Amino acid sequence: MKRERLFSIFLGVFLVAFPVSLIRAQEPVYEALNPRGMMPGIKTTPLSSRPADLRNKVIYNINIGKPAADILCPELETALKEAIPEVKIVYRKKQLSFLTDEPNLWKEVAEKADAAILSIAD
Amino acid sequence: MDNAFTEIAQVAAEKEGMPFVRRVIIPHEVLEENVKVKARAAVNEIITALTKPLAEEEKKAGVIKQEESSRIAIKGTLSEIQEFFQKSRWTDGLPIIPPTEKNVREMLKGTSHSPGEIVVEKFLPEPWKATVEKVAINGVMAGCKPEQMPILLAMVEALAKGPFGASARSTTSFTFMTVVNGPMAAKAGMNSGINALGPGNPANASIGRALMLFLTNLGGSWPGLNDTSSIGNPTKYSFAFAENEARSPWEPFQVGQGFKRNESTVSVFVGGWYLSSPGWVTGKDVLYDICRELKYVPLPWGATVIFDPTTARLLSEAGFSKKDIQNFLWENTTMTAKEFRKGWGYNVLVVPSIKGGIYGKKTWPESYLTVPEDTLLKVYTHPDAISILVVGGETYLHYEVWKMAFPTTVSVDKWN
Repeated sequence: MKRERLFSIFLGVFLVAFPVSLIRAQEPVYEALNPRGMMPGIKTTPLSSRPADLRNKVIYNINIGKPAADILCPELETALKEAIPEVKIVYRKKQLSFLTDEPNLWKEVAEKADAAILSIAD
Repeated sequence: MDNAFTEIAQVAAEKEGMPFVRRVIIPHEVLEENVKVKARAAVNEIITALTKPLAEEEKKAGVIKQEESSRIAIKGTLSEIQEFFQKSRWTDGLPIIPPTEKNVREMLKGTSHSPGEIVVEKFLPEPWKATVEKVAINGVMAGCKPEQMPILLAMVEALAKGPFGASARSTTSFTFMTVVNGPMAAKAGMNSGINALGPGNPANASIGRALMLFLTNLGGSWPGLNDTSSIGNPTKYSFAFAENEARSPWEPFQVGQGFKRNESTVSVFVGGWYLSSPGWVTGKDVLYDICRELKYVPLPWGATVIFDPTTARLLSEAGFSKKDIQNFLWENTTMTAKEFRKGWGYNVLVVPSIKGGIYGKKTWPESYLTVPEDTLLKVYTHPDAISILVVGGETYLHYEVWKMAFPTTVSVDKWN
């Protein structure tokens, strides 16, 4: 009986004293490789300089073709003209879907616009 | 733009090299009935965005260099690795096989290509670069075996080659389907028979799972960040199978894609939903059933009909070649112009694709825009827009009509 008690005390002391980290160390440890693809460096483009105000400026109001943009763009034009009557708005709707690029439109904007609004409307 | 897309807009702006492009955010959600009010409420902010002088950071041109990540991601126990990968957003939510040096080295034995070789310069949804070793690491994570490595490399190539970028980001919860043809399918242990589209076969399950891990890790996809799937799609977890060429009465799929019968290929399709018949009919009745179902596939730029070999054999015995079936389905899947012009985002996607094509291909004739409303129109653009596959275990006269389009097929053999 005395021996059993002594053994229980010994076991208790052992479990308390045995460092958790040593138990953990018995688990296998692995080195896992990084699965991420390689992100390229990104060449940044500065934003175009801003006009001081929009009076007599040409603003392209571009509808990329999402459902609500047919309503949003005309309303935006009306509201902008109410706020700044001298602003000149040019409305353009992408001829192709929002899935397809239209380089000619961007070329026109670069050549003719003082600023542009691209309405995602989504 | 709507505040539901703030994060994806930032990701896209950075990708395009304009991280500071000015955005005016309007409250979610934008509907026809509320958009006028939201447009007006945003006007002052728009004027400010157009006129406020540029900050120094907005004027800068240069190169944003990405941090080089260390080759070893973590050293730890199995559970520590699982937790780290989950927290890093490097998994699909399920436990992974740790991609240890040893496991990856073993996986690389499945190809003769060197670990550092670039598989694709630009993956998706983000245009990141993928090497053979990175493909192997993700393959290990998915549970793939070395003999499947050429298929994995071909999948990555097909995904990058196909018109899939927008679908990977879309709110519409698109998913990708991988079909393997040729001798490599059996060599990789893939199932083309009973329950081929379901669970049970380790090769189908792990190859399909690898595709999602590729998008996650090789292309940086993450729900809510640049995967905006509103509801989601269970086939995103895993969706790969082989065609049952041995039991098909017709030429295998890759032959129609311009490959030889004995060539191994991977074809990746995009879409995500299916309709299935209870069957019980044969011959032309099956095809009329399929026409009815094909009619209701949204955005009918393409669809895929998967026949059980029994159904395919009966059709073949009735005299139908694969081409005959495609022609029959194309000719007989019709609806009135009035019905055609409703739904499917007709004005948003169908009309522009009639005017300018989709992904460089012509769609429907321009007459579709103007013919009287009661004119019967063919719903599909061309017979080849309806892909035919033969898969299954011949337990039933079955077929499935999948909204799966734009198959992009590449050779597996070159990745051996």
